[in-house]
Amino acid sequence: MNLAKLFNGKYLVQNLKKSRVTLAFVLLILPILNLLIFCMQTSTNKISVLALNDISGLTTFGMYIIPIILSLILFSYVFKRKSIDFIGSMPIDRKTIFTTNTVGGILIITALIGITTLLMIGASAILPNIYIPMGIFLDYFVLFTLSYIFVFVVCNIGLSLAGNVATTLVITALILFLAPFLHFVYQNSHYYYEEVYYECDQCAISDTGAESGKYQTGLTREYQTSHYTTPAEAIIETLRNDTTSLYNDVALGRMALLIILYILVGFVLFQRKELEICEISFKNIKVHMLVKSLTMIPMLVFIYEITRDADFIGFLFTLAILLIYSFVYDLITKKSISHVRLNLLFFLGTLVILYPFSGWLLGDYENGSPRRVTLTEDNIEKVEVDLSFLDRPEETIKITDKTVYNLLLQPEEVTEEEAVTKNYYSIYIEVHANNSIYDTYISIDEDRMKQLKEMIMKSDAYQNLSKASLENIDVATLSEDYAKLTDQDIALLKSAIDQPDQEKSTFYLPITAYTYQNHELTEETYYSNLTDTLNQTMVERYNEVWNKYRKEHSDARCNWMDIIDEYTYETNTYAINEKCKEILSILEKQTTNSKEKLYRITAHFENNVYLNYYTNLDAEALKTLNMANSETDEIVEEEVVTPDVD
Amino acid sequence: MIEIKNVSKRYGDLEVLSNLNCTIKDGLIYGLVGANGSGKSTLLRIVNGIYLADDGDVKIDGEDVLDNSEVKQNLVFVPDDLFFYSGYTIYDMGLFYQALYKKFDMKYLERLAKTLKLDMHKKIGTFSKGMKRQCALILAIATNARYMFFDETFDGVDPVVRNVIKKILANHLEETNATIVLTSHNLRELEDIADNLGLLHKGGILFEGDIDEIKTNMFKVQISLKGDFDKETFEGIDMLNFKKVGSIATMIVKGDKEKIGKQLEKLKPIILDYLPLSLEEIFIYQMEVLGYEFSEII
Repeated sequence: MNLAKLFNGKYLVQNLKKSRVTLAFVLLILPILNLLIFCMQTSTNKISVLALNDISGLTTFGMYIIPIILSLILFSYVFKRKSIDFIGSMPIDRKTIFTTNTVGGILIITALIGITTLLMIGASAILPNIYIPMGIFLDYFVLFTLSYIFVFVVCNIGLSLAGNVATTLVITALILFLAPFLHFVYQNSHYYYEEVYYECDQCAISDTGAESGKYQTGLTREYQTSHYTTPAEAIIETLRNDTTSLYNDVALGRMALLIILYILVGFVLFQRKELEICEISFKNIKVHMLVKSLTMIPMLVFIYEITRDADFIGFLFTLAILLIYSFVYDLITKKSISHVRLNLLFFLGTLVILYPFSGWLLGDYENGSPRRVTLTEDNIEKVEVDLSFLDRPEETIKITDKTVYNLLLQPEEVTEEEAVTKNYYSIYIEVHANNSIYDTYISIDEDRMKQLKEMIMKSDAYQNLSKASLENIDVATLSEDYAKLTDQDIALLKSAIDQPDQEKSTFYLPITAYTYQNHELTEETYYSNLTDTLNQTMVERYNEVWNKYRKEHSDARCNWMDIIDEYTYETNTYAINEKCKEILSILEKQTTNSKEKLYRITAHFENNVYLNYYTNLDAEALKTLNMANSETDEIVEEEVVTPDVD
Repeated sequence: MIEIKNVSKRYGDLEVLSNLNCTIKDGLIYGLVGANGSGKSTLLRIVNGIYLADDGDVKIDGEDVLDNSEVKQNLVFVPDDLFFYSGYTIYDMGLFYQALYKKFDMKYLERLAKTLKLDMHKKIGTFSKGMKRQCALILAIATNARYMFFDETFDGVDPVVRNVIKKILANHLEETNATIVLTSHNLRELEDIADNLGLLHKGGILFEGDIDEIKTNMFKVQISLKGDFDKETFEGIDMLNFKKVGSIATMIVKGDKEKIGKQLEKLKPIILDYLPLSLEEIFIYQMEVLGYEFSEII
């Protein structure tokens, strides 16, 4: 086979040219809108470190539209008799048409996602307060290029089988979603018929009635870690309110293989396509009805779920809805209702098979003892703990320490008296094991809570989380602080600068009293079980971020934002006054003064932890910090004098 | 040469072509006549490799057509329902053809457009039906394909345009020795342009032949003899039809005109006139012989 003959560039150009307006619209809308949304994310003027999910919302939505439109544009000729006659009689064979359009579509998608990625990279380089690691852009490019191509090749199969656009869309949707939907529903419905035990030899309490060392946990399998292809995964993640990144190596690998397979399948089907079957769904009415029956599966599952507890009226209601759907489907895909008797026969057959099937899918026929799932220290991958009990709502920590597993998962032995007198805390946990996520609320008493807090706060995961949580607080917050400084603050600051030898606590406290309290940092210091090393790291991190972005950010604040004469600050608006410039000026002057002083002043602005650090540190810790300061002083000075604007 | 052997095609329960055989020699204008729904368009689509025949095969210059882009370089098909991309001009369409037909001649297209006073850069969508037909025609001609297929080309075209199209086709044939296949449900439209005619009925070619030969070998005779006479009087003459009104008989006779004339002269007729037959009349009488009612066929 001469591969060169399979691609005809001239045909591709002409084929694209005929739909250039639609194509241009479809291809420009994503990069432009995506860029706008991307820029809007910066409008809070906070330095944002964006993750893949933050930049992929519109692109995910586009995944269900753009590749399908592209496929329908490239193969548009197969839907109209007139265009079939025109293209079909041209000296180009179907193999070449299919491969040319497929390769062309893949190139266009690659260019589209590539341009969208490049625009975001450009914007993130220009916009001062947005930061995205390059790896995220690479992930974005790979994920969406593959996903778009996947949807595109699936749609090519759809149009190779069907005779009109509506049926093409139906087949495409069935290929993309039916199997993942069934798998997802089955899994979710059957998890309720499990009992999850935790096997723990070292746990002190025995569970009455259970095997020795095994404890019923109350955990319920929430879902199994899925490796669905991205189009299905995105919807399923939305359904289960999962914010996990769509980037999944296994799913991407699977999708890459399926793309190759689907191209080959599409290639064969397109050669065999009977072009005279156009403007109708299928040549064979029975195939049409079979496909219609397949589309009824999700509908029936949903309706069954709603009406499962209803009586006969509920069943009749289901019947009526499906019957209406059946005829509406025909009207959409065939533009007529024909073969009424055969239709009804198929409908009844579908109902007879699918109604019990839906029941089975939704777990209605589960009987006997629940299946027992046993988790052990070894098969638990990690436990994700909601940190609300540490006043960190919306945050979780991933624990891999087996002693914490035991603490969390062993049952509480409670006497009747204790049940009344003791305080209990409820903590939400998710256990990752067996490629699944199990969750529950555990109830623990004060003693165990204390133990748990200690264990968690000492853990590396918590230390890292604390560090990470500080990364987004940085200069933007500090700039807001500047705006809130009163004249008195400034005076105190100046005074402090002029008196370098005063006590550190005296130096900071007055200012602390007036300045804006950064609540997150306050919490951080309030629970100052953080190690000294972490405190030091935080300070360094603040300095690093501050020195890197201070100049451009402050300039931006002072110059770009509305500058008004009087100081005001409202919840939703920034109003930067002359104090901004004044403080900047003070800071700039400090470049020539002592490094330590400058360090302290900037550190003050940057976080209150530093204040606490200084006020609470013992002699040993202070020594450690001073050593660290002396190592970084030079850098600090250089960066302040010549701020790095990159 | 186009060879169509035992071609059959069904659309569901409807058999459109049934074991059809036909051979079209090079350098001819072949007229394919048949009633609406007789399978003319389906046959052309199969010949052009658009549809796949259920049975039988089509060869052009000895090669299969389906998915054979090399053979298709020599074919061009203008369907009854014309297709132009939305917003395209003749020039744009020319570029499309040029991308696929190696021998497409844009200058030739421009010349033809000029001859027909068609604006190359005006949107085809704004043209009248007749002008659109002319556009399709000149685009097809500019491909310089050796085999051209025109389905119902004269349908809905006024006589002036029809004549123009015929003239263009005739000129092109003269220059290139191309083979042109025309279909129509109206015999009169093909009468003065086709060299050969095939009559398509119930999925098969019912009758075909060279028009000149048909016309030469079939003629109408008006004759009156002394005394009484009837059909038996003309024994030995291949007669397709005989009618006698009063003392004058009208006969449709098939065979060599000179020979038959001598035979009739021997009967010493009072009146003997030879009248030309229109193609339609020839077909009517021919069909009657074959046992068909012509009005049912066309």
